[in-house]
Amino acid sequence: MINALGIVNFPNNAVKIKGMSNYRTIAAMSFLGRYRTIDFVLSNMVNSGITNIKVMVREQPRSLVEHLGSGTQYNINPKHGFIDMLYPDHQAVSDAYYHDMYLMNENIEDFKSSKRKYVVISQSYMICTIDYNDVIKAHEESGADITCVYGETKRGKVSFIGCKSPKLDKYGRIYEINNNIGYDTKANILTETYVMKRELFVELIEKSYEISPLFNFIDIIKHHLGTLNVKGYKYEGYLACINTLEEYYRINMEGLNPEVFSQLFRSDWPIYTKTNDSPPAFYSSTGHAKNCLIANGCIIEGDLQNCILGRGVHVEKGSVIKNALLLPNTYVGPYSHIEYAIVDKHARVENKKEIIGTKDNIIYIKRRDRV
Amino acid sequence: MKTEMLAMILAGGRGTRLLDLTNKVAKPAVYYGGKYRIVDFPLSNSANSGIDVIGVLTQYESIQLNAYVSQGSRWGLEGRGKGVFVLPPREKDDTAFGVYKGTADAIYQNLDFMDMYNPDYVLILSGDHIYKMNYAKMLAFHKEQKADLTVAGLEVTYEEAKRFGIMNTDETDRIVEFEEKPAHPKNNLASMGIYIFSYKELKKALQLDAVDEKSAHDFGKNVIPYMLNNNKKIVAYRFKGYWKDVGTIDSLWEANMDLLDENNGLTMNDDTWKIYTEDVPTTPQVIGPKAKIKRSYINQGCVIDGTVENSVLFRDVHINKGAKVIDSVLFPDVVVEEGAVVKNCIVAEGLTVPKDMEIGDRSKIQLIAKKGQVTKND
Repeated sequence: MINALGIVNFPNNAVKIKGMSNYRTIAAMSFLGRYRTIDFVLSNMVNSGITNIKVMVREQPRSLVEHLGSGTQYNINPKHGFIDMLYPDHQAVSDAYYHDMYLMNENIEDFKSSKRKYVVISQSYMICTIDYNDVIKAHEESGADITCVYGETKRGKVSFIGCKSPKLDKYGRIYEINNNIGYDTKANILTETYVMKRELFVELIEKSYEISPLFNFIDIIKHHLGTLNVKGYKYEGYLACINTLEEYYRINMEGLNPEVFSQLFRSDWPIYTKTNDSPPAFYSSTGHAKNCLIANGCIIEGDLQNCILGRGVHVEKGSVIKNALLLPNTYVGPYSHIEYAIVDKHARVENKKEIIGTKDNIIYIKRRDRV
Repeated sequence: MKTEMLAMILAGGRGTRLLDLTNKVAKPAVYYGGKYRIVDFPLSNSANSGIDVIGVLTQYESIQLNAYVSQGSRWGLEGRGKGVFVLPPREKDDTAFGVYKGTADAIYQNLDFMDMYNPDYVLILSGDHIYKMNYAKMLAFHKEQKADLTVAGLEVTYEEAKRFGIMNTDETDRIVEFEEKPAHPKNNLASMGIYIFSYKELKKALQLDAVDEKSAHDFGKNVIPYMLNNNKKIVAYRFKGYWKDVGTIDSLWEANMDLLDENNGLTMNDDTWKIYTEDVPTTPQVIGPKAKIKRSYINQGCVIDGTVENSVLFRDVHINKGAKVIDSVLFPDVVVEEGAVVKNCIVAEGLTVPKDMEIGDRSKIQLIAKKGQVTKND
C-alpha cells in the first residue's frame, strides 16, 4: 500500500458548466456514458494503492453523496480504507472567503490525525490516467518539498482556458505559475495534482490565513515558489479539463476516438464506477448505431450516429440522433431529430421533434425537462 | 434468531445435457442473458421479495458456484441477520460424510442450518430456472389457504405437460394428485419446482423420508406423494408470466433468444424488480463506424465493428470489422476476428474465432466450448 492520503479537491475559480452546474458539482457529472468525472481520479488513486481518500465538496453534494456511497465500488473495503467527504462546519463570511483553502482549514484536524506520510492532492475535473507511485518516486528522488504534476497540450488556445500554466527552469523547478489565457497553442498545464509530506501540507494550511484569507490553494503554492523547492513532474498521457459546456461536449466526443479511448481505458488500469444493475443494451429490429459509446440499460429503436448514451436511455423508432450526448435515463420519442445537443438526465424529448444545433452551437436540454 | 421464511436453493445438479458448459461449472452458474448467471434469478427474486436468509445447496463442481454466491452483497443480501450461505455436503457429528442423495436429502441434511433461524416457513427453489416472481405474494397465499405446502404452477400446453411434473387439482386448486411426466396428462398445470412448506410439516416429512430405505429422497417422487397420502393440504399457486427451465443447449439458446422479443414478459428493464449480478468493471460498449446491429442484446465492454443480428453478447466481446454474428450467444471475452462468421452457436468464454473462419450451421444449435473447435487445420 502506498503511504499517502488522497485528497480530491474541487476546481478553483468556481468553474461552471453552463446549465449542468445548476444540478451537481463537476465531480458528479456524467462522463462517457457510464461514468462520473470523479471516477477517473478515484480510480487513479485506488489503482495506485491509495485507499484513504478525502473528497472536498464545495456545494451541491447530493449527486456526489449518492454516487460515492461507502466506496466499495472503487474496491475500497470500509474496514481498511475510506472515502470521506469534507465540507465546512461553518459558513464562510462571503463567497470570496469560500475556496479550497477555507475548506482545508475547516478540516485541518483530519489532515493532522492521518498517519500517512504523504498527501496526494488531485482534481476531478482533470481527466487523465496517472500512477501516483511514479509521482511519489520522482518526488523522493528529486528532494523537492512539493511536486506538481503538469502536462503539455497543443490545444492551449482553445482548451484549458483559465487553467494554471507553470514555468520551469532547467532543473525542473517551477518558478512561476500563470493563468493560461489562450495565448499559445503549445502550453504546459498543471493537472492540479500535488505531492508533498503531510506535515508540510498541514503547515501550509496553518500559515495560509496569515498570508491572506482570500488565497486559495494554488495562490498559496505560488506564494511559496521562492521559499520552497517546488518541482514539476511531467505527465505524458491523455489530459483534458472539463471547464466549460463546450469542452464538456468536446471531451466526451473525443472518447469516440479509438486512440483516446485506449489511453483512458487500459486493461491494467480499470476505471471503477457505481453499478446500476441495468440489463445489457437492447437493439430492436429498427435500431441502428454507428460510432457510439453506449451504456447498459439502453433501449435503441432509432438511428444513432456519433453519440454517447448514458444508462437507461430509450430512443424510440424513427428517431435520428447525430453528434449528441444523451445523459442517463433520457427519453427520445418516435420520429425525433436531434443533432449537436446535450440532453441532460431524465429529460424527455416528446413534442418538439427537432433539436438541431451546430458544431459551434451545442444545444443544452435541461434536466427533467419535457420538450 | 428468528426469520419468518428462509429460502433454500437447490443448486447441486450437474446439468449433463448442457454438455461442455458444465464440465467445471455447476448448472446454476452457467451464463445467461448477456450479463447474468442463471442463479441470479432465484437470488434476486428472493432479495426483492424481502427474504433475508438464503441457503444455497451445492454439490457438483461447486468451486465457481460457491465462490460466486458467497458474495451476498451482489444481491443486496449482506447485513445483520442476512446472508447467502453456501451449504455443500459435510461430515457430521452423528453420521459419516455423505453426499446429497436427492433434493429432499439435501434439505434434510441441513435441518440444523434451518433450525438456527427458527423459520415458520421454508421456500424451496431451484437454482436453474429463469423467471421473475414475488415470493412474498406466494407466502401470503400459502397463509390465506392455511396450507401445509404450496406449489407454484404454470399452465402449459397438454403436449408440453408430458415433460413436467403435473398437478391434478380440484376446483379449489387443492392438489389431489401429482404425476411426474405423465404420458397422458389429465391437467396442464406444471410444477415450477417452487415450494413453500410450513416448516413443521417439512421437518416431519423429511425425517420420515430419511429413514425410508426405498425412497429416492426426491421432493416430486417421495415427499409430496407422502404428504398427499397423509391428507396434508397441498395447494397450487398459479403463476402467470415468463418461466424457463434451461436444461439443454437448445433451451439455453432459446431462453437467450427470448430476450430479443420485446414482449417476452421478463421485463429486464423494470427498475422495480431488478436482477442483480456480479459487477465487473468494464468500459461502455463501443460501436464502431462499420458496425451493423439488429435485434440484439449487448453488454458493456463489447467492441463491435462488424455485423451482429439476433444475438446476445456478454461483456468484453469483440466483433471485428467484416465479422458476422447471427442467431448466436457469445459468452464473455469472445473475439470474432475479421471476416469470421458465427451462426446458430453458443460460444463459451474466452474463445477466439479466427480470421475468416465460419462456424455453425442452419440445422441445429451448436455449442462451441473447446479451443479445438475454433482452430484452423492448416
